[in-house]
Amino acid sequence: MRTLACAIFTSKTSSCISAASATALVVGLLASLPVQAFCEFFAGKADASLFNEASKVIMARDGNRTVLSLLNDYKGPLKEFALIIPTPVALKQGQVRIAEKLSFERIDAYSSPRLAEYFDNDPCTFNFQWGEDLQRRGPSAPMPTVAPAARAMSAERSKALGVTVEAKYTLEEYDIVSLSAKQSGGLETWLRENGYKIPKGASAAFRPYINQGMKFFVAKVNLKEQDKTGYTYLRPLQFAFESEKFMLPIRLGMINAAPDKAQDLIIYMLTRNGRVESSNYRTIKLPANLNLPPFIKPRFADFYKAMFENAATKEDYRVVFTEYFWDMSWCDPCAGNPLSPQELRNAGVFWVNGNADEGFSQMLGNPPSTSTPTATTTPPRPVMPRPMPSGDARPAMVTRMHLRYTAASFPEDLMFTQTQDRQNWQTRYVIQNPYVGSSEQCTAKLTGNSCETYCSSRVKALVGDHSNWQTTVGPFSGRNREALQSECAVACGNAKRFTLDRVQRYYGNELPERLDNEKQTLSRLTGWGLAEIESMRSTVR
Amino acid sequence: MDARWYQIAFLTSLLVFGAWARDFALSNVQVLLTFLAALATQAAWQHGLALPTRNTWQGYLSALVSSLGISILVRAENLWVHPVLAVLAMSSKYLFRAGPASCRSHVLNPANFAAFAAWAWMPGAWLSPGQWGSESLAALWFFALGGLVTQRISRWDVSLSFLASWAFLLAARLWWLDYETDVALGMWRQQISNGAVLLFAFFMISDPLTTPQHRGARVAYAIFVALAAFIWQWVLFRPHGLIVMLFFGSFAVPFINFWLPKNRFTWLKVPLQPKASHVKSTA
Repeated sequence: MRTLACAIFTSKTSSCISAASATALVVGLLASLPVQAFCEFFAGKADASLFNEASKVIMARDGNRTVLSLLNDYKGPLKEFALIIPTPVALKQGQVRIAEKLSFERIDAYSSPRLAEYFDNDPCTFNFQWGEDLQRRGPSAPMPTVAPAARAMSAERSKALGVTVEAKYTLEEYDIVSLSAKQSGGLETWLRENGYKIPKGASAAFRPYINQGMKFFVAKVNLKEQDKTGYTYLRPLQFAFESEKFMLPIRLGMINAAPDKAQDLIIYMLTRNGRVESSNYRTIKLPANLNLPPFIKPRFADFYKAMFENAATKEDYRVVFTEYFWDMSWCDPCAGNPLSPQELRNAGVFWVNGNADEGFSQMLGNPPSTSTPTATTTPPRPVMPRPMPSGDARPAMVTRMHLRYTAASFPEDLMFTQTQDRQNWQTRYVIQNPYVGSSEQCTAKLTGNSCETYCSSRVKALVGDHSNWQTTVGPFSGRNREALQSECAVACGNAKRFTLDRVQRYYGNELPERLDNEKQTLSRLTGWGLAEIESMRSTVR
Repeated sequence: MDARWYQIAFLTSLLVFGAWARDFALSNVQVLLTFLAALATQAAWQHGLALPTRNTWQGYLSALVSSLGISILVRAENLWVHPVLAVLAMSSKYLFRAGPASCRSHVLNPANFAAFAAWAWMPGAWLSPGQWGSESLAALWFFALGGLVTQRISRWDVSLSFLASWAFLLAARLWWLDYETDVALGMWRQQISNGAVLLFAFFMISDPLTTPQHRGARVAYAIFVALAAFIWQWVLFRPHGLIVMLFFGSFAVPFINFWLPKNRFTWLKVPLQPKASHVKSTA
């Protein structure tokens, strides 16, 4: 018994869109769906802010072209902040820009693990159809329909250290240098002499990157400029570059980490065609599309955190979890609005206007050609399930990957491959709210319904007021009023008994069994004990 | 005993391990369709060509081996890719044949061809090299090496020379990049103990019919494939180096066999006699 309600949205979402917090990236068989529905109530989500100290990266990639955005949630003194990222090419001015923190918040909101909610119908629905179909000859009464879904150092010194400054500039609040180095010791010395606080052991970690021919993007905060911007946080940086390497250098961030200290990384991968997975680590889906007890709704975020921790521990922190993969033009249920073309562009989707060459050229800092149509900004829309677009309307696909890793469990940098998998998938959980009622209430209600009243009107419709007429209507043909009346009374009595049986089964067996299963699912997913879950239930009550 | 039984047992355990313990994105229906399509194609070709093995179980072992290989390697978002690949793979054995008279045989290893085709040409299909995870598959390695010792892996010289050169190249890269020893060891272990490498070394490149018949040439061939795959993957940063390079390398094998001919390998200890004299034996 499930009610589908479309285009209904609980007001939680706006409060749920919280700032995605992050630390610097570098220094710092489909489960069976219980309900196949096009639309459903959206009841809550577990966004990235749950995972403190999680690095967040948006990577838009098509062919060899990459636009990478990094969000820092650096909390220490700004003058001590430094960001060092190995990059496949030396990034020149123009290839780097300040991105909007909003991009992260929007993608996070859109792709968060979500809770969908259904409501049981009243089991005490007296379904008594005797003689009904044959009476209705006129236009049928309007049926309740499901609405369609709405929709500074000298050059000489640098040279001596084997370090070449490929580019140096100030971009808003960041002082940026792009470096290439010949040897890691020289790079470490250069960085120290230029006032960067480099952790011990950095040199050994730089070495393999230098030997691979990679360059280094280094940024620190220009306090004067930072004051001018008026922002209280560090805005994300975005880079555009071309490289065959489809990877994310995560190893440098582990220089100081204890081998078993876990950290979180959330990657929003934006591609044109298919789902992205890691090519050198296992990528798996989290257990999802499962029914949870309804009382978990206010504690959905706690549930997700515990469930993720449980899943990551079980896999020994050795896997990449896919949290969401969807065609970005729609969602169901929506945890956040799909991104507008302008928002997608801000997030790095350079092909969104149809001209990838032009779009990427602009990301590299070239001026737009006059003929390029500009992306239109769409006004804010209410969050509701968006119907699947007809035709091939997908501007971008988002793969949200979440990994909890340690220096020991992820010995290599993350490498990726784009698959041709286009099957939408989400970490979605379901609560099915029981109907609020009881067997007693139903008994009382049914007692109030008199079979005699029901039957006299239906018999009248069949034979009219003539007591001796025999009806010629369908299966009743040849019977008179009296015979019809007694036949109807028997059918009515049976219908009542059937309803009461159903209600007793619903309240007596189905609901307790269902809740039991849901609690066991909750326990299995989170590792919470059944007693703990029971106490949670009474707290919520 | 036909060594392919050992292959089948090994590949089945690899598939079961993957599906149960590694959440392979693979459905039972896809596996079933792969087997049905491969067996039907094999039957059609054998009967069509009136081959002596057409009514014996030996005639169908390679279809089982190929089906297992396709199921283990290929992932698809639909149901048709797997059976289509099975048909292509089995048919390739009869359509692409070359080499000197003494060792004329099919050119492509069916599972390798299917994996290459899935990556290069099939819509909605992909290969998932990361699917094995980073934990070493100790038991399976033991099993595979056991096969070597008991000579159940038919071309152990290819397996070993490939493994040695692949392991060496990966180690050399890490050494050249100058990683710290413990980091390098962790990375090397992760790269070498991968199920995909295991499968490739023992059951793909070791296919006795698609590798050179001359032992020296065979060893050189294995080293060459390892080197080419290494360049493809670690210098050019392209995906699926082993599968892609074995596919291209296979086309050189008939030429090597012309240059250094040897009698063709046969799975059967006592080959069945062809009933029709114009029919050449096939595996």
